[in-house]
Amino acid sequence: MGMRGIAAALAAAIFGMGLVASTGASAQVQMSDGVKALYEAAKKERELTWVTSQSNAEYAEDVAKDFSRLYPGVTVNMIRTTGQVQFQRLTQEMKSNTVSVDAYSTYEETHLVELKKQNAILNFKPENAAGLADSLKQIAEDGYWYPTAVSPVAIGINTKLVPADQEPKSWPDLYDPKWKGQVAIGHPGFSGSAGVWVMAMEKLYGWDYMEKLAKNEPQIGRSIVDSVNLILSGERKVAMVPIATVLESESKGQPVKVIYPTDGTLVLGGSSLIPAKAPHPNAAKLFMEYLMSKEHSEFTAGQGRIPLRGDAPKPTLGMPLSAYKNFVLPTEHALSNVNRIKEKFRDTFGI
Amino acid sequence: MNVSTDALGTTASGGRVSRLAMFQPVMLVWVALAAILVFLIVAPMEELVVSSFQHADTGDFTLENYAAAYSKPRYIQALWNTLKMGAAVVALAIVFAVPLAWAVARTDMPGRGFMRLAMLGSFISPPYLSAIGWILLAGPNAGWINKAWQWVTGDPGRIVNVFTFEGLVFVMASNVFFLIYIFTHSAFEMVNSEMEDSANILGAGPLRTAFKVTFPLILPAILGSAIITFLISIALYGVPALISIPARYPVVVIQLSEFFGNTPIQLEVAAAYSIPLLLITAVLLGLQRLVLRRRTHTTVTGKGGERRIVKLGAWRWVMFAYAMIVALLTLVAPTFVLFVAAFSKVWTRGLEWSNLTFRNFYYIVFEHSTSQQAIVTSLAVGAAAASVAIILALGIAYIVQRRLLPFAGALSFLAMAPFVVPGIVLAIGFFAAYAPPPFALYGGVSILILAFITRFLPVAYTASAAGIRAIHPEMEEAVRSLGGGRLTAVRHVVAPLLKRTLFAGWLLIFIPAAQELSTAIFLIGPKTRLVSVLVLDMSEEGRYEHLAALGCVLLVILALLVWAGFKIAGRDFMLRRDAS
Repeated sequence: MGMRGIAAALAAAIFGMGLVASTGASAQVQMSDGVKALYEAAKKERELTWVTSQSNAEYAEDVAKDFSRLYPGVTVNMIRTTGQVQFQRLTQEMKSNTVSVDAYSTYEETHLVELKKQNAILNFKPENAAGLADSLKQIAEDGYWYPTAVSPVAIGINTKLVPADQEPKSWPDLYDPKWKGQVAIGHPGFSGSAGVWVMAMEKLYGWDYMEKLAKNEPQIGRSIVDSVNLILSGERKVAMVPIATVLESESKGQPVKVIYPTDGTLVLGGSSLIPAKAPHPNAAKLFMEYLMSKEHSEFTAGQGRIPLRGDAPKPTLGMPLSAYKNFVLPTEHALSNVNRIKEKFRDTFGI
Repeated sequence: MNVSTDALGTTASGGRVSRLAMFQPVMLVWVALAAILVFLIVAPMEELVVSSFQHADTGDFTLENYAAAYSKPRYIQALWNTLKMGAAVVALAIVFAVPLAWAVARTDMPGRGFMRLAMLGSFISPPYLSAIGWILLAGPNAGWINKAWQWVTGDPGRIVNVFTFEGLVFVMASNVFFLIYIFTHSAFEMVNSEMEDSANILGAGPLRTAFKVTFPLILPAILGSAIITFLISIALYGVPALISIPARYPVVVIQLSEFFGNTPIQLEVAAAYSIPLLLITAVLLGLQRLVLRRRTHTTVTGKGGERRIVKLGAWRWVMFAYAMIVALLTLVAPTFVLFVAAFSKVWTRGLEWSNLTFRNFYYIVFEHSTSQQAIVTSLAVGAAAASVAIILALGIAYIVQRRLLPFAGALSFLAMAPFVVPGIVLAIGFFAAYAPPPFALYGGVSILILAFITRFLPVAYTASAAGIRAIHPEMEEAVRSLGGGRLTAVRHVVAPLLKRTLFAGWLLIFIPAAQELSTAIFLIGPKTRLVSVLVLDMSEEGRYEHLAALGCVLLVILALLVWAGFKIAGRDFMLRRDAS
């Protein structure tokens, strides 16, 4: 409790103003006429089902609560699962004509494209999309999906187990034999983020990278959040990690740290959409507006995560994207390679 | 039941009544039961088999799915791995179970009461929780055992690693050996000492008696339960998801989830991939039926029979040590670790005062709405599935065992058939059959309940059939020869004798159904939460402290229910002759 309490107090001290401001505003959110109309329609639908693989469940629950706080009378049934499972469920629901998903948030670009191909996406242009940071606007497919999360993927280390002079500096350091049995990564068959990372490494260094990494016998988790836990517990020393989770643990006094690789931190853009047959389309539209709203960006920054809007405050944890070298894997590359690398990964790692 | 027994009573006692007159009501009962079984079993399986031969887009007949399912050595390797794993699990489970069953049933080993409790505990504890307990204990770097070893010896190496084939087999076996124990235990209890005495009188020594009399009498129980254990272990999803992925030991359930996980879903390929598994299990199930059929001795008769305790002398302490080691490894150690983690701020810090917290429980019970909902849903779904399955199974079992209806064998075959389907495959069959209109069951709890009824019907049927089989018809015949009808016999002889079987069978289904994962994983809807699926989700995120607290809450609730079961049905309600 101690460290958590201190961290909370610190966060409150730094961002007290913002929090108080947004709490105070709960009763009267600034609503445009369009959003107001959506809110009225959403209140009749009373609820929406949001399926997400963009964050851990705790954070997603906080987002759902923040939404209901701003828009009383509309509740969010949040389901956190992996990118694969949510896609399976949605396509199964579509096949059986029993769609229950209203808002769908993922990092899996292939799934977005596949859904568009099947005419399974509700056409909708949120007005708040205009306020997104310029760098993120290119992730959107106008009228179909919009960026709702950014996740830089870097190297995480356990600071108790990795001496300062031994710290890895770049991605190839993960296959240094001195980390044999000490590396953790995610499985592209279960985690879309892991898939993008594998493609990015292949693009930078060729498949040779994975062959060498396999020799280090990395522990392969179902999600990349799992890797953070593995370095937290000391089960592994170094890992490919989403930085948000590491920063959060670090702020609670846990012995972990982010290393921004010298060859570039991989930035994943996650998008959200509304399925064509969503049972609560208005509530879903309102939720999409919320995800791209100023209020949500402030909430995101206050939680130490990277906000989506240009006009948002700096995050409480970590550095803004402009402070370190980073890169994005082009969507076309991801699309044309994802199934191939899944198979290749399985062949190389045997699972 | 009433209708059937009434009608049947007349059929059996009044042979001179026109056959035609009796034909219709009898057939109605048969048709009703058959329709239920078709709905629960035939339709989902038919969907599965048909889709394996269907082109994904056009629906035309094709063999492409089979070509795709076996196109890679890795896929075939996973099949072979699964069989290897299943065989190893059964072997180890027998090593755990049979000596214990003998010691508890037939010897003066100390601590028999404790062992009965431990077996009950190991039945209550779901495999995925035990797997997580073992991950915390035997993780290669952070696991407590390796940490302790490094601390004591100063050696930086490791002595155990749960993420290996051996680790996988061990965790599986410690979760499934309970079934072999229960079957063998009741078989040992039924071996009449008089039979062994006869062998002794005829000059056989204790060893020869054991091999010529005792062992052959319990062999069917061991073989039958070993086959079921094999089938259960190759169909488990949770333990492989937690252990075989990091261990890089691909098995069928993981490969299946890969086919389902591709974009677009390769449902048809997955169906094709699961067919050989269906065939293998069908063959084994046939074998099991053969084994059980050969077992002709009726055990609960109207006559008395004595079962004497074997005095082990000094050996009883050796046996005691063995029993304690088995209990420690399979139940006490992983459960203890789970409870410690549930009360920890950070599980890796272990037992430390400063690490103690009640926060995790508070979070799970009062703050985390998903887990509250999950606990209620899991228990309710388990109870509903167990109630329906047991009523259905008893009806079928009575008709089959007393040969009251023509083609009764078909009913029993159907009731046992779900064994052939791994839970994860059953889920897809159910989805394919009942998610679309007109049923449109996906998203609610009803599809889960129906799938669980199907999944546990063989257990219900085995328990019911054994219960009825163990009641020699001579007792009912005694009633009938004194002028009572079949209904009287059922009410005053069969029902009282079955009361405990009924309740025990119910618990035998309720407990696993309340923790089911392998079927639930693909049928869970957005608004239905189950503890099992939530635990797996939490494990994926590494939230072991919360997960442990949730697991402990479930364990405590189930333990309380079983304790209530003790109070209602008596001490040995699950371990004596019910499930044999």
